[in-house]
Amino acid sequence: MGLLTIIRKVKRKEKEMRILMVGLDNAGKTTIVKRINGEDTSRISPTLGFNIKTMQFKRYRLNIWDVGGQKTLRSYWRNYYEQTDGLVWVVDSSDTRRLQDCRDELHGLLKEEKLIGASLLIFANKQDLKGSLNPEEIAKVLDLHVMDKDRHWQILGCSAVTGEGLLDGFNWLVSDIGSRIYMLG
Amino acid sequence: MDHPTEDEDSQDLRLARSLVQEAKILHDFVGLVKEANGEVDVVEFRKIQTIIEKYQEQCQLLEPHLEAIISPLMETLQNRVAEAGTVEAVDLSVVKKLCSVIHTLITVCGYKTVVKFFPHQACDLEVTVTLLERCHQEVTVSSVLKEESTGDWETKCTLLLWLSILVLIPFDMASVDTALVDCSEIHAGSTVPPLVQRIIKVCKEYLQSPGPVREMSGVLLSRLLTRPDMRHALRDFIDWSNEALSTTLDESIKIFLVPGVVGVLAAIFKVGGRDMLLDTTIPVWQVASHLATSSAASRSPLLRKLLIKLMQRVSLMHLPPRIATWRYTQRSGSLALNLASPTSKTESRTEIGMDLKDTQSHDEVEIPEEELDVPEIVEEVIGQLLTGLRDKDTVVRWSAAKGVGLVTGRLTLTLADEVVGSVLELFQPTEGDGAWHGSCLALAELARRGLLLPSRLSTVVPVIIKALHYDVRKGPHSVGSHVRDAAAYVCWAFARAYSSTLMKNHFQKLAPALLTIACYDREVNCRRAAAAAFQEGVGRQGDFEHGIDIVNAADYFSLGIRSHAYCAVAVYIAQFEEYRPSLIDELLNVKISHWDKGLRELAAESLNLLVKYDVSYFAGHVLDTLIPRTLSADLCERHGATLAVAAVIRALHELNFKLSADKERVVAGIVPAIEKARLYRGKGGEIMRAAVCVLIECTANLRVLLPPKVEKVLHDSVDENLKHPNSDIQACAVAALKAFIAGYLLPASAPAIARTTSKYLQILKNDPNPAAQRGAALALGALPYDLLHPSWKEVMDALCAAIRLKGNPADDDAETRVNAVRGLTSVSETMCYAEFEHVFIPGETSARPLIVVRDQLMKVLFHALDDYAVDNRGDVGSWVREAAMEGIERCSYLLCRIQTPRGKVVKAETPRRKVVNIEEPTTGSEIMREGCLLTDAMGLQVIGGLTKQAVEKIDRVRDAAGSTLQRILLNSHVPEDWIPHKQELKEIVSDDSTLNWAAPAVSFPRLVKLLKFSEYRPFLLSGLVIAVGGLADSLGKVSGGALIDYLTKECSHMGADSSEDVSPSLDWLALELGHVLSGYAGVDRGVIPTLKTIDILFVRGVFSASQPLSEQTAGNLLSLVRHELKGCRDVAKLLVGTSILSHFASLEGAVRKQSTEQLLNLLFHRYPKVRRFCAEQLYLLLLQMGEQLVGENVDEALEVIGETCWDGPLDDINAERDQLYGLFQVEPPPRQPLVPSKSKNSRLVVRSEDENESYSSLVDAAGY
Repeated sequence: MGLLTIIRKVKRKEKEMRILMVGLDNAGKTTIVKRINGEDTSRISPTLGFNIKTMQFKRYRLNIWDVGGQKTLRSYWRNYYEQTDGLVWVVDSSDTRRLQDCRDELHGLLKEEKLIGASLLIFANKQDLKGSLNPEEIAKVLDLHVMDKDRHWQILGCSAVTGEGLLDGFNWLVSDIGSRIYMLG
Repeated sequence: MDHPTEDEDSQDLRLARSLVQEAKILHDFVGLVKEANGEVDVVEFRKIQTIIEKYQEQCQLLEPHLEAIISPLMETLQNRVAEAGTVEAVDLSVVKKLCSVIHTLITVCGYKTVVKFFPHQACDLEVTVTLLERCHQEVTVSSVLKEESTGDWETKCTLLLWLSILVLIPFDMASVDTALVDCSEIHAGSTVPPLVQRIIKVCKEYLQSPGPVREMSGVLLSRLLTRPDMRHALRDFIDWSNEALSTTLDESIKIFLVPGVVGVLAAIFKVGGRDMLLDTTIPVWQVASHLATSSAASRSPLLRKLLIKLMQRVSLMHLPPRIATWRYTQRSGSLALNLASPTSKTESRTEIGMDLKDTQSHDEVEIPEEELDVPEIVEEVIGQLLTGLRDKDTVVRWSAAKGVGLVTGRLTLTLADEVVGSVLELFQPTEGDGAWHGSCLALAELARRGLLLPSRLSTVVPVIIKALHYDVRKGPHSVGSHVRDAAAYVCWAFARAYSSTLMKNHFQKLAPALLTIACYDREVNCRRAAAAAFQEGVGRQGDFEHGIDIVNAADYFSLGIRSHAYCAVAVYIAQFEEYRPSLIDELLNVKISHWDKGLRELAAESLNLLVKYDVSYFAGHVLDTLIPRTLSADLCERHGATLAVAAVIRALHELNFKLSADKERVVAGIVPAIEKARLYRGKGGEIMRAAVCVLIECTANLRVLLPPKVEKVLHDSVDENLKHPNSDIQACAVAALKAFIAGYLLPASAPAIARTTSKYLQILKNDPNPAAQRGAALALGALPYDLLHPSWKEVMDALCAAIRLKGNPADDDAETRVNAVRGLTSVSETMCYAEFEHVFIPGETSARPLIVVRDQLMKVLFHALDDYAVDNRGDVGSWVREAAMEGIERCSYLLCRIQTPRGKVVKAETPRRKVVNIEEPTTGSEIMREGCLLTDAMGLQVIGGLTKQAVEKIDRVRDAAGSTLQRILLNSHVPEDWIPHKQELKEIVSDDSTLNWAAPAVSFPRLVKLLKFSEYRPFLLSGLVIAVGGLADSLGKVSGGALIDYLTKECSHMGADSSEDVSPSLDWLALELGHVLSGYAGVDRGVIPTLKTIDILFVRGVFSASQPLSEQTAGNLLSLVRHELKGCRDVAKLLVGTSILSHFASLEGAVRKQSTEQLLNLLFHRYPKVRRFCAEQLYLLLLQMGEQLVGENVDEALEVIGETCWDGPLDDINAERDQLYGLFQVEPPPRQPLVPSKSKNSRLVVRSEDENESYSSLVDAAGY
């Protein structure tokens, strides 16, 4: 294998990203995935198990792993941590009762060694619903500012139903991963 | 611009276009499969597999379609299983077909890509396990051989891969295990669900399989066992594997099992978390390190590679993952902000070029050293990885390099820097090429990860420059191209990893080295790799000096061909002063002494092209360096140096540079010194001879002042080399002679003539050494008019004599004849041009060159066209014919008073593709405007002779003849009326200079059209029969087809409108064939093909009853055929003759009787083979037209012929003989007594009889 083969491989590798979508149940993970993939979002049932979606985004191929958020499933999330480039944490901004639960799960997740280098995008979903907290409020509740200083993160409001904010979020995530994927590849 | 991918892009485009088409096929196929529920013929599946396999190198093109292909196939698979109810009822053949296609996708796109599209519902898990078990059990009954063809292992691989994603379901495995629900079988004390146990059991068995199922089961196990709920199973498995690895097993199992188990462990350690695996590391490490020293590992690169991976991952378990804060990063954005500032300070300091040590000490002060307790195991692993870098196998070195990068990334700065230091220590001259390669890879890996701190760069760069030039001679070749490639990789990685400001200084050092490799490396991959690295550097640097220009010139394609890289790209780059010195140094110090002769020659050529940039430097320093090395003890060096001196001198001459007197003396002294050192002798003498000739040529061109003694030495040297049997040396010597004469022997003096013309004449006439004769013939051709003039006629006569075949193989030397033809052509040109230019002075004989050419030389050349001499090398006459064709062409131009550029007179070897550049005809035509120079007969002979050569059997000759023909016909200076039918001929040969005359399908259909002109028929047919009736089957088919096509189509048409020919008969053809046959009389080389051609014409119905030949023509042809058969002992000829006779017998008229008679004679020929063949022919003939031959006795005759054993002894068929002669009413010839009464003769005859019989049996055995 010579340099020319390496260049070819690297170029290919640089174009692939593995993204893990997690969050509490009913946060809207699957809806977001379906929405950005242009599929029908009118009828979505809770994810029992997981989905993988491969799609082209800008010049990258995203492999999005969308895992169910039910409490029983959460202990198996670690099945999916391997080689994750980006982490999307989806929050149901209207579900104020479970935000504490959400915070605990998130901080537990971020302790995982395997996810140490992954960029973190937090979607404050369901901004279209009345009574939802805005991203700043969510950030406060989730204690995002105490996060490890090495972590690249971003919180954005969005609505999976209207599609608002989704593009901004993925734009940030993909460009952030793209800026360092070569180094860690 | 990205050159490596440019190539890719164009390929991408092509495949992308074709994919549009195939995508439909693929989708249609998938739809069909889904509709038919998998019941599609296996052939369709194979077709699809073939389409997919095409994308092996470009799998990303398939990726957009993968989902649409895989999902329906897997759904169909699920359906089949669901419909069948139980797994036992599933039709495995359908499963196998489906899995085969999917497995093809796995091999093309990689399992990681494909697995994402597999369904992963929990409900599939148990069914799939059962299905896998069923396939697994089935294998035990089927044989290994069968396994290959039926898609068994493909199915197993696919199912294993499917399971590897199914086991990722986020549910407790126990909850999907029906066995547990049934409560029928719960293992007491075991917390491992039975389903999992079943999977592990199958996988364990596969781990000792040699095939790809081993890898797939490893993938599955690593996924399954690293689930959070599988801790127990994981521990069990690790215990099992430790045991499997440490116990001594049967060698035949172990050889597959050990890599399998190590592979699984490596995979588990990759996927699994540290919390899960940390406490298992100690035993695993022990087993692995023990294995690493075992003999099994030393034998298997695969095992060593897997062990390196495993050990590296084991060590990572002891190092918590971190983003090394000390890591260098050039990226902006939040990452840089978050990082500690010291690194960026380091960067700025390195930039201003502070002392390295100082910087380092500074670093240590500023970066708070993190606490890291490095366990011993990690240090040991690093030791192993460093050893792995030096491994003899590339794959192992790669894994080790990657390991070094990964482990170093988790270390603290000081420790990491120690690792970097150890890697750098591997760059020692005492280390092998493997170590250099491995450590280059490691450096590149470290740089990519930002682990090689900028402060280290100034130490690393010189090492990398060394590695870029790594080339170690090993016997007749050298090793190191992989090191150079890897060093280019390091440069590439540096360019990408470090900021442009930081790299600027270093890149300035690297760039000349990279460009040297890009231009001058022997290996194409190194040239391209260096160019790619340079390009990356330029790209990151922005405005690097001349960077963009060079990148444009030195790209993937332009460097692909070595000579282009040497003579074009390098010359372009050398115009920039920054790079010129390193390019020149590389040539002088390395490449002109390279072990590859071709490379030395190219190096000299490149040097020649560089002289123009700095003439005085080359005339001074470069020559001073080179000249002493012409006497080097190393053959490569002295050869290269000699060539290089010649190349430099040549360039100086071209640039009109005059050497100083001192320098001239030194240059003049080179050849005598070489001779004095006796470097012509022994090994490499031949190589030196050619080089010395080149040097003499260049010296002479430069008119270096020679002392008389040296002049004599040089001339002797040239003469000596002219006699050399190696034709390349002779060619060099002739070139040298020309230059030498021009430089030192003109104007002609009597001694000069004695030293040249007379001397070579004597050698040509009298020297018994053929090599000397060859040289002399060439040398004569190279002489200028002044030297030739006194004895030009004698020279021509001698050359003509040398061309003639003497009929004695010992005296006939094909190369001498070839060279004599060439020499003669050149001498003619020299003399005739002199005549054109009015410088020719008639000597005592009143002969004039043009007249001699017309009256004498052309005849000799036509004669040379008939040189069909053969020796143990085959048809060596073809060389003479080729040379003669060129000679005829050139002499024809002379006769037409066309001048061709003179420079090409000697170097006739290089075929000139293009039509020669024609100058205006000289105005000197009034010397002899008698018009008598050109005769029609000669024009016909020129074209006819070439035509004959153009339709014979050797491709190369046809090519030469066809293009010569084309050139002559298209030459507008050749008078119209000289060549009969010139206009029509022009149309036939066309003016397309790209026509490939060597291809039968191109040349024959064109040239057969010449049959239209009766003048050309004899020439054309006499050549054509050789091709049509020759031994080469495909050639015969094409040429015969062309002939028959022409005859059937064109000829009926021609017969109809030609007024003189009343009937459309082919009498002319039979007549011409008769002439050809009699022309070849006695020469079997021509006769047999001619007979075969006649036979073919009969068989293909060209000579048929519908187009009857006139009685006379038929009779004439028949008698010629009979004449050839008379007393013939060649079986092949007899058989063809018999066949022709039987055709004649089916014709009307007198020929029937004659041929029948002859057939009957042949029926009782001495050779059984002939008898039997003749009997077959007669039998067929009787069936066809028995009544015309034997009246009502047909049945009787048929019976006799059919019942007789024709290959038995001749004595046994006397009765049948008489009977048949009677039936055919033919007077039997007087029976020759089989055993003559004279006892002396009888032995002879009997012996010959035996010989023939054995011969015939031999022919029989060969299935003739």
